[in-house]
Amino acid sequence: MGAIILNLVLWLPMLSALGLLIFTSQSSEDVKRIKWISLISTAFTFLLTLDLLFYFDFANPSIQPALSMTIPWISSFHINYTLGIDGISYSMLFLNNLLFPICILCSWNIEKNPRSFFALMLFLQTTIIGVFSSLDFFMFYCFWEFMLIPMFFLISVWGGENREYAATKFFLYTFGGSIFMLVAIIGIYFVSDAGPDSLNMIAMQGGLFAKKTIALGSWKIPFSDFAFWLLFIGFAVKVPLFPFHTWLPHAHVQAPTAVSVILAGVLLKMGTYGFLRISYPIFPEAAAAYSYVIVLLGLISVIYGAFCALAQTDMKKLIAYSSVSHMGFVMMGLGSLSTSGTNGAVLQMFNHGLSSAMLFLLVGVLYERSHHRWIVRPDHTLGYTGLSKHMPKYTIVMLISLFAALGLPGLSSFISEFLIFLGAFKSFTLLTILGAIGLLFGAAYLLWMYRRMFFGTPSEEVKTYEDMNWREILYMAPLCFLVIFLGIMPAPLIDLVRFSVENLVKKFTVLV
Amino acid sequence: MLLNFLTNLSYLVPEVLLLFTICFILFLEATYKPLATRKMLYFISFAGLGLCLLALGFNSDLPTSVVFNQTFVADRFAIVSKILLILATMGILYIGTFSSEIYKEFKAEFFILTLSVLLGAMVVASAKNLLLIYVGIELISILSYALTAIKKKDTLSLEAGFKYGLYGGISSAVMLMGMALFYGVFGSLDLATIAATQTTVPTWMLMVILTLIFSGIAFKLGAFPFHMWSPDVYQGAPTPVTALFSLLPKIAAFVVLARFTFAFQQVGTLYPSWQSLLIMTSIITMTVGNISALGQDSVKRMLAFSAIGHVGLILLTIVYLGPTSIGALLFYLLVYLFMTVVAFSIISEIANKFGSDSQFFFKGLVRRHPFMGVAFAIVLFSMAGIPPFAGFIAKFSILSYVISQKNYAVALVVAFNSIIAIGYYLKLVKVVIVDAPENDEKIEGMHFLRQLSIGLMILPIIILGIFWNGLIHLSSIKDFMKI
Repeated sequence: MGAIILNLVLWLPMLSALGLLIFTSQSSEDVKRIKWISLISTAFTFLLTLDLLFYFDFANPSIQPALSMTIPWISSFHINYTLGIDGISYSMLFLNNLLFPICILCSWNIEKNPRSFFALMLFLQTTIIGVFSSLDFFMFYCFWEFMLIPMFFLISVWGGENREYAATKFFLYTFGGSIFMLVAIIGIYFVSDAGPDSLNMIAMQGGLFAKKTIALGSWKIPFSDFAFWLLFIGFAVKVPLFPFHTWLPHAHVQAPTAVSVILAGVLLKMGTYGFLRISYPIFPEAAAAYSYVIVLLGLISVIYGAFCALAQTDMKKLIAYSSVSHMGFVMMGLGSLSTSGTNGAVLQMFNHGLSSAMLFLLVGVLYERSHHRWIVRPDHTLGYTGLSKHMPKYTIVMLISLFAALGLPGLSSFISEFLIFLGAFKSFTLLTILGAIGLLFGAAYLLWMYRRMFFGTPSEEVKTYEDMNWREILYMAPLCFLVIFLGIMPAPLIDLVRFSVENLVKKFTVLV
Repeated sequence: MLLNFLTNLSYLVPEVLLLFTICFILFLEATYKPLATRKMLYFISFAGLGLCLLALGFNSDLPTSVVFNQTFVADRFAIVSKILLILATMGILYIGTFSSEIYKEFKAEFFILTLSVLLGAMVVASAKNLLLIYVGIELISILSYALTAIKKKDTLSLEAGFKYGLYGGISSAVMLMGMALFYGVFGSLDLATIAATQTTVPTWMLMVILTLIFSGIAFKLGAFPFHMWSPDVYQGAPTPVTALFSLLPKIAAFVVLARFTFAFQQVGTLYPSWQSLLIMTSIITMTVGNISALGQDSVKRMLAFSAIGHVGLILLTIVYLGPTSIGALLFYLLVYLFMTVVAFSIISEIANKFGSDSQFFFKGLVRRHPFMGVAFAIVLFSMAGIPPFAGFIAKFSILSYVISQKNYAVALVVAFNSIIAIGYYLKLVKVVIVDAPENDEKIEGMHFLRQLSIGLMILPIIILGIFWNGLIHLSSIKDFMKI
């Protein structure tokens, strides 16, 4: 039964997307129906996701037996339709399916071709759920790649002025990374030579490839190094890890609000999830050998992202760079190869998903009123002044999101960043200290943005804005609740992922 | 002797049927001209091709054998590739019937020439004697020159035909030279002798001979360095003829190449050099094709370069010939066939309407004709190799075959090439879907039945991308290929 519900969670959005295609007219009645169908479908998907918890055994560290299934698909290539989730994937599914109804609500007033927009959003949801719940490499890859098509159109049709450039760059970077991932996956299939299990992510874990070598021309290298770095390209582009991050600011700035929210909230986590689920447990020897490189790149992302964010005058760009910076923390936690560091990384994935989604949603709220996103306009005047006096509700929500993003104790991100530093401190003392300084910059750019926008006397323009309406409050409320709740009482989330993380860490520290 | 000939003839039924069809159309055109309407000719050729398919189906039960004095192979590989060829021809005739470039001035010529090219290709698909290979290839070539220049008043078409004829003549001569040398060394024109004869001729000299023969085949494929003709010919020729060039000669040439390689596999010293020749050609071909495609404005020209890229990729299946790689080859050709026919149907429709295939006229196609826009986007994504479309599986099977041979360096080259290729496909997708159309006037002309038939051709592109279990291992049947 659990497996059936998981399947339903996976395919329901895509089926509703196909259902939307029957509305051919653009009359306002039909548009209304389209919106409600999308909202109900995503909300129902979220409820089903909650329902999965009833089949969830929290003490079981590996894949939940009640929530997994395997059906042979392409037998000649040992490709199976294998679904399955554990605590880590569940946390991501929860985040994803929570954000989608919110995104539908926040794009309620979209005017340009709403049918295609909502259909593509629902397609996107299925592909993301597919990435987080498939345990077969081939399936994983298919979902990973298919995700590009809805994303490309969502950015390039509904985006800002420079949308085509941004969408193309996004597509090329991700495709370029993932094609190397494909080479690595096929390599795993042939080198492991494990018959029917060769494409199963779980069966391949635990250092099966420790002594295998391959020849690259006349050059003999360990297979684990080769595959680890190929996978690294694929995942690092997605995270995005310095120096593969340059697509992110463009994509974020040009994307419509809902797509930015999904991009920052869930898509980036696909990269770190790939490291956690594939690269690290399957190639523990490479993970151990190159952990310093990973942590260093994570640190560079943290510091560099923070510095870039300090210099931005566009709100979305600032938050995009803050994502680079915060995802750098996740990579530091993963690279530390310790239980608490990895725990912190998984929590940070979840918490950053909440806080960055909130920030992007709030930018969207403001953008709907003012149609610009300048903190400082190109002519050096401030884009907004005195918002706090004129829009009190908006200010409160913004404060919660900002403090959640910069890791104030009592809000959700604090605990995850704390765990990351705790885990990384022992092996990478210097880098951890530098990372903590990065945190300081994080506070600096966010608070500086706040000061410039919210303090001072409201300009004439600001006075014309309405405060948040009920719809906006409705979709911000669950996120606000979650960041505060998880900040005070992180235990439910930690309990959800702890055993799964320990189980994985055991696999990637097996050779250390 | 006569009896022997007659029994052998049973293997030749599809070709004979095709010949009858061609003669019948010729006869109809010459005597009852008013009867030779577009619809009638279309119907007759489809009926003839259908009968050919049926005959091939019956032939697949016959035991694999070599007939007509060891020149004509009737194995399963030949049958499957002939089915591919016939399907491709059906697609080309389908495009041709609706293309004003063809039906305004010509009727029967196009059908006769196309079916004759098919006849040549089918002969090549079964040939194992160099002479028969040469005859088949020349049949394809000479008729192709005529087809290219079929728009007698169009300078581009004439120029393309002239260029094609000139290049083609030279490469045929070179191939013939290689065949003569082959005869001098082995004392026979039979491919099988190469495995049987112990020759004292050094390998490098043999390689020179084979390279000469290879250049003739590579010309048909459009492989580097014999690819120069294809952009001009693709652009200059009428769209249905362009579709023909990207399918029939290429499929035939791949079959011949596979047979060559199959023969060499048994020759220990020669095989490695042959393999490295193929790998080098493949790598350079796909890189050159994909890079050149990036800056093209004419869609047909872009597809010409993209075809060069595809050819380079497919060549890799020939390098390490085995049952799996033949499966990958046939699968790729099948998928490529559907993608090409759909793509050229749409291009032909646009070319009919605007008289040009510049990307300018594809702007915002999805808003002017949603069906064509979406169909074109699907084909382009499939060609680029994005799952879940069949083009991805085709690429996947070749990539996995290369990796199973532990050739990781080549696999990385393929990966880099995919990235280059996605650049131009994505650009065209962007033009079709995202760009604002020149005006909002709807494009008329593609009525429901045509949409349905194109939809039916898109269906395999999606279905083969999800269920490809049986097809790819078709070739593991025993005696699939024989020399």
